[in-house]
Amino acid sequence: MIVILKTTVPLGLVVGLLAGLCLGRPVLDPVAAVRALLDPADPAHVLLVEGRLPRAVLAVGAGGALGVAGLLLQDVLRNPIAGPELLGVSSGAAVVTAAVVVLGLAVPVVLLPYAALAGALVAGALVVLTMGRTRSPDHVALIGAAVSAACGGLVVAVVGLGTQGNVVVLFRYLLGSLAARGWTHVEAVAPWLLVGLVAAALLARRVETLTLGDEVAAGLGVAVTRTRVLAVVVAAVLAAAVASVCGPVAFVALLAPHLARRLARTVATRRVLVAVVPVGAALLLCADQVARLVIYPVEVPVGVATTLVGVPALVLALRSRA
Amino acid sequence: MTPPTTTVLAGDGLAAGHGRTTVVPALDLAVEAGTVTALVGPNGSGKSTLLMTLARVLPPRGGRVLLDGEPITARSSVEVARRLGVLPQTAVVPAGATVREVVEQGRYPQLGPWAMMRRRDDSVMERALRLTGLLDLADRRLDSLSGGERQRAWIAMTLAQQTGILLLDEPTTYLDVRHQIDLMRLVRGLCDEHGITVVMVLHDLNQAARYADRLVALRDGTVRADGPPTAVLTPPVLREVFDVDAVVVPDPVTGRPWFVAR
Ligand SMILES: Nc1ncnc2c1ncn2[C@@H]1O[C@H](COP(=O)(O)OP(=O)(O)O)[C@@H](O)[C@H]1O
Ligand SMILES: [Mg+2]
Repeated sequence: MIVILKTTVPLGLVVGLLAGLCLGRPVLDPVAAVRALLDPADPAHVLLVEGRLPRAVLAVGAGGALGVAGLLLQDVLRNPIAGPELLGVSSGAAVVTAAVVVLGLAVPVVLLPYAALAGALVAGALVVLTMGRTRSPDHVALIGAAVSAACGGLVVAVVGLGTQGNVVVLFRYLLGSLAARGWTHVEAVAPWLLVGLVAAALLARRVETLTLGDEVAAGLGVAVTRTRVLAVVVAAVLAAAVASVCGPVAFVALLAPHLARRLARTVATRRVLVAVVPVGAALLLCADQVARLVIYPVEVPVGVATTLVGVPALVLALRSRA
Repeated sequence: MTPPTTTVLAGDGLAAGHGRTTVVPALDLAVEAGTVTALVGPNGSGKSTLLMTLARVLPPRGGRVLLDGEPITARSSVEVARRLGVLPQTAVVPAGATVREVVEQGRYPQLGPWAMMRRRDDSVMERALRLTGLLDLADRRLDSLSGGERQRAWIAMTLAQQTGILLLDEPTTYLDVRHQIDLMRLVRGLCDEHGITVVMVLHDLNQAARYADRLVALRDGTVRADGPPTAVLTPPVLREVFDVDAVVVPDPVTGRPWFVAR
């Protein structure tokens, strides 16, 4: 399993990137794709530089970020099935997006990611604020599930008000999609992802002690509640940034940490953190290729593809837990 | 003439509890350097609550904890963890972690959060593993070990902290007789040879009397008896603290008090 993982992760990144650049309409061979990328006079240059490349870059960044968010949450809540779904951030972003699209609010397209980000952060903040009132990680998970469910209900209510036209648009978004994302989207999320990744790296050692129980961590000199809140905030920021441009991408955050632990042959947070970024990136990049190509020219929402790819991978990963 | 003593850890009018409930109303306790103290008492008498409050794992509900004569809150929690190691009862076994990985966590207070990928502190780790008899099991997964082997791993983690004070909550739980004796001798050796101060919760009163310098008997959060084993392990105290009708005779090996229920 580990050997398979070690080869598939780089392979997935390379193949995913090549497929992302070469396949579609028109199909280019890898050499032509690289040439088109570098030569501004090439007819396919704009398509590659403004279309396929930023989409692939976004998939890599978002996948890595989701993996990190999932890892932080799983370790800090000591819950192997924790993910950003538990923070309500994806549903928070979805509520705002749904409201903007359905109610026809005058939000410029460029600002839509920021509006969604605000919605995601508000939902995440709700969960974090209620965390201050409880010491139990299980309560945090429950509160998150409740906020998430409430937002989910809101989304359905808002969508119910929509016309057929915008329901189709929303359908794409609500299942998560990377279609037609460009550099503006990458630029909107990049600062958040960078800050989140650095913060995660700085927190990792403390988060690791929390996996031994709150009292053990406190005995080692770790500020338990502060560390838990900070880790949840970082995970919320990462997941919110991703959700704001890609919608709720299912499964990557749940699955990537489990695969990364297998790959790194350890459960120590700071070592898994290094592995979870490429694993998450490869997962989402490859899922996006499946989403683009499986019933080409129609695109499947990437959230559907991650589920299709993710469920068997998760089952395999858990079976091989030796 | 008795040698001068220094108090390294003390509770001063200390009140302890969880949430809104007070378990220990007000307690004064001074632990002398280089001694082994055993906390005994029935289930729910507040031993763990007291120990965790002394270790600053739980916030006191009143009074103060003094570490080396100063309020423990005057130091950062990492500085406290360099001086005082604690083994709580609530340790969680992370699925998939190896013994070595868990023991390595004990290095956190010394190395700090920035030692991201630094090489393992091998000599300290090896010593902790050797003292607990875990060298052969170091690379096994903790969740694949027996209860007693796990318990030894947690003790090794605490030893890896290299602190002058150790607070151990029921360290002999799950251990077989052999390992219980080994652990008690290890504790005695840490104290006698390295001057380490130990406070531990024990349920085996005869073991407490044999290996500790001082017994503190707790019931309902108050100290009912405190002193050398001969003063605490007596029929009246056993009746008051444990509701046990007992005979106390000299232990045939050491001459310390030894109790048998009637
Ligand atoms: N986490 C907790 N939250 C609330 N009450 C607790 C908690 N832990 C222990 N208690 C209560 O505090 C009292 C003392 O418990 P404890 O200190 O664990 O006793 P001991 O270690 O002597 O068996 C008990 O009545 C117990 O129910
Ligand atoms: Mg206890």
